[in-house]
Amino acid sequence: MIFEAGRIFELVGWPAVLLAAWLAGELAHRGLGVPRVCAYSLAGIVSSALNTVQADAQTTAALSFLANFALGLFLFELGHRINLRWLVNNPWLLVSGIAESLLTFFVVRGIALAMGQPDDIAMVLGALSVATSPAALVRVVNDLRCSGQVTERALHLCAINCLISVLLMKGAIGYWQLLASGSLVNALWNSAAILAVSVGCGILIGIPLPWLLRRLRADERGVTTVFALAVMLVTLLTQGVNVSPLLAALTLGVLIRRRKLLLTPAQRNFGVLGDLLTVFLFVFVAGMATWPTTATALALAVLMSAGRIAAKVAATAAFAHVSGTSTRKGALTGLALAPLSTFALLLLEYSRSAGFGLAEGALSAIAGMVIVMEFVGPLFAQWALMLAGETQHEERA
Amino acid sequence: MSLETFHASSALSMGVELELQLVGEHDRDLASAATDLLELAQRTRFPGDIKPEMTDCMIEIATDIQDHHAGLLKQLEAMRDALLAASARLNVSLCGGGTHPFQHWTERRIFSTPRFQHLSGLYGYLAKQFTVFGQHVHIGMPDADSALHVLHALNRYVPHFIALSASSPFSQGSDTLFDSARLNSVFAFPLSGRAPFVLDWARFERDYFSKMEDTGIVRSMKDFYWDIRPKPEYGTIELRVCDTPLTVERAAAIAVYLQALCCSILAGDEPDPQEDDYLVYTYNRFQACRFGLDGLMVHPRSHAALPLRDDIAQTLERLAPAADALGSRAALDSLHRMVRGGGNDSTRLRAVHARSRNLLAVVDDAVAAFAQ
Repeated sequence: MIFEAGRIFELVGWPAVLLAAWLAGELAHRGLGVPRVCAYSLAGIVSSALNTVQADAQTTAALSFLANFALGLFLFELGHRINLRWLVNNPWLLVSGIAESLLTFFVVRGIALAMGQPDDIAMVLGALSVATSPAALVRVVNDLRCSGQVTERALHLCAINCLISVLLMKGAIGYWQLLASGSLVNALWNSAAILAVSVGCGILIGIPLPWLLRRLRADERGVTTVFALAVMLVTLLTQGVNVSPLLAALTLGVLIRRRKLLLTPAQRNFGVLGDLLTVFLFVFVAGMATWPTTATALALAVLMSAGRIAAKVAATAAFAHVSGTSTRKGALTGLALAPLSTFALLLLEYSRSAGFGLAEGALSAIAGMVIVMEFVGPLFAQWALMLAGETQHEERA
Repeated sequence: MSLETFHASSALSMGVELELQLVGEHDRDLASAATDLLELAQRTRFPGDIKPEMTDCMIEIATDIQDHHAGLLKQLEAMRDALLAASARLNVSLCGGGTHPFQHWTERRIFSTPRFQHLSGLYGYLAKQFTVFGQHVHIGMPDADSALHVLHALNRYVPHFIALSASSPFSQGSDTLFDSARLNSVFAFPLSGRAPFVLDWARFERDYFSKMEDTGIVRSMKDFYWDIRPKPEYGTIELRVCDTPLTVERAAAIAVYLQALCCSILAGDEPDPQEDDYLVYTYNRFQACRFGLDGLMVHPRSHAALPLRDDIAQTLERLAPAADALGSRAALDSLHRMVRGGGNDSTRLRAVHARSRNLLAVVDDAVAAFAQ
């Protein structure tokens, strides 16, 4: 044999899977009206089940970097849309974000406890459930060119619940470290330091960047390229010092917006680069999820998913009127917060590398919920935005 | 439905309608927020009238009937403040300006009322392209014949109002070179233009409106998009050529300028209108749209070419006694300073663009001006 079939397949495995995922995404979107990201996730799960792509440790590290970079782009875009002044003008929105996050935490943790999970794992499950996937939400919003209150609120609440999820997760890790080492200082130091360094990395890049772009009078493509490179830079920087690349990317986005510099807007979704990395991100992350192996695990997954959505809808509906919208739109905002997964899994992956032993146990428990929400989440988000009448009718190509 | 009876109203009373832009905080593009803003604004008693417009990124506010500049401005400011408070809770901004500088018309959504959906079906892309923002001024008329007389006597002043209010230099992402690009969207409609030259209400109804109604083209006065049209149910004439200015102060000043002109016409201080006045009408209107205050208009009687700027300044000076009587002298003086000094809102927006070379900065400036 001149060549080895296995080796060739190993080489072309990834692009082939990504191409298949992209095709599936287009078919799902055009034919069935299903969000593209659902199809990407499906492709990831199928390819993982068939074991089409095998990777050694080095490749896995590279892929993990790419995934963080891709997610960083979404967080940057989310951060860019966050108006901190809105939370001051309308403090009830901030209250509803905190209430929604905490209610989700306690409901999911309660379900996990009731289903016989130990408290530490239940706590991690609760913390991870709080976060809405910025990738899925931003992608659905951009695909349907949404504009309106439900869209605005969902994006802001998404940023809030991601931040709270990170804090709760760090709290859980801190709690675990407290149990392990008995040192409260160590536990608090760890959480606070990670938070501060992550935000600091974002600030470090975020301050000089707009100045540079203004001097250059960069056009749309130039701005997009520079933003993408900046996100790559913070991803590497934060990975280097072992803090959260995602918080840093979010900070970067918020900062560039807050400085009110009049930049040409970047291409939506980071143009073709964003499209390509989205396919990769969803395929890669879905590949990490595994099917629940027992009926109990499946029941846990379904119950936690249902509890999670119910908590979000209930909290946002309850605070809708005081925060200036109708109860219906409040409930739809909660529904739009349904997507879960990418963020949670990467957070978990990161926690594991940070030496959090419990994460191993939580991973198998949350994997089931991820698989449920992988499909249901974006669908719910799309459904909510359509019911709110905030989507554009697409032009027929 | 035939033509409504002309309800006489208190002469020279005023009402102002302003169509406002709703823009997003993060990208400064038009934002679909009309429904939410209406809902929130109506939770407490709104100090005026507020209603949806053709597409869901615009709203229209209207004052009550006002007799004087002070009351008019006070109500406009109260409505503006109420809207700003509501919009801050919804993360949207509000601004004046006749066009949005870079919105793309294909992205607009038609507001879902049967009338707007019907118009959208009838006019196709014109309806969406009609995402432009105007100021309408109503002036009360003592009777129907006076309304037609004043309407036609105003013909030579229509370019004044275009040039004074012009605030739409940019459209679809570029400088149109017009001071009022908005009116180009209005002229595309088949029933735009001017009212037919009839000075007698009974004849207007018999010889024009009824015939038009028989053709099936129109059902009410609402279907005419004339520059000035009579509004029989209010007993007013309605001037529709103005762009929404960037500030409510200017909107009020423009309204009282019209009030003072109507006062002068009703007092018999202006020559009676003639059909031939309209020979120069569209040319003068074009000059005002294209060049604003720098336009050159042709006088309908003497056929002399006059700088629009000078003609407005002279008219303002001539109207000073009427303005004194109506309590609007200070407002007319502010227009005089603008004509002689800084220029209209289009000049201001172009200067912002020249400094920043960025259309987002232009919207930012309009948002800041409105909140002043």
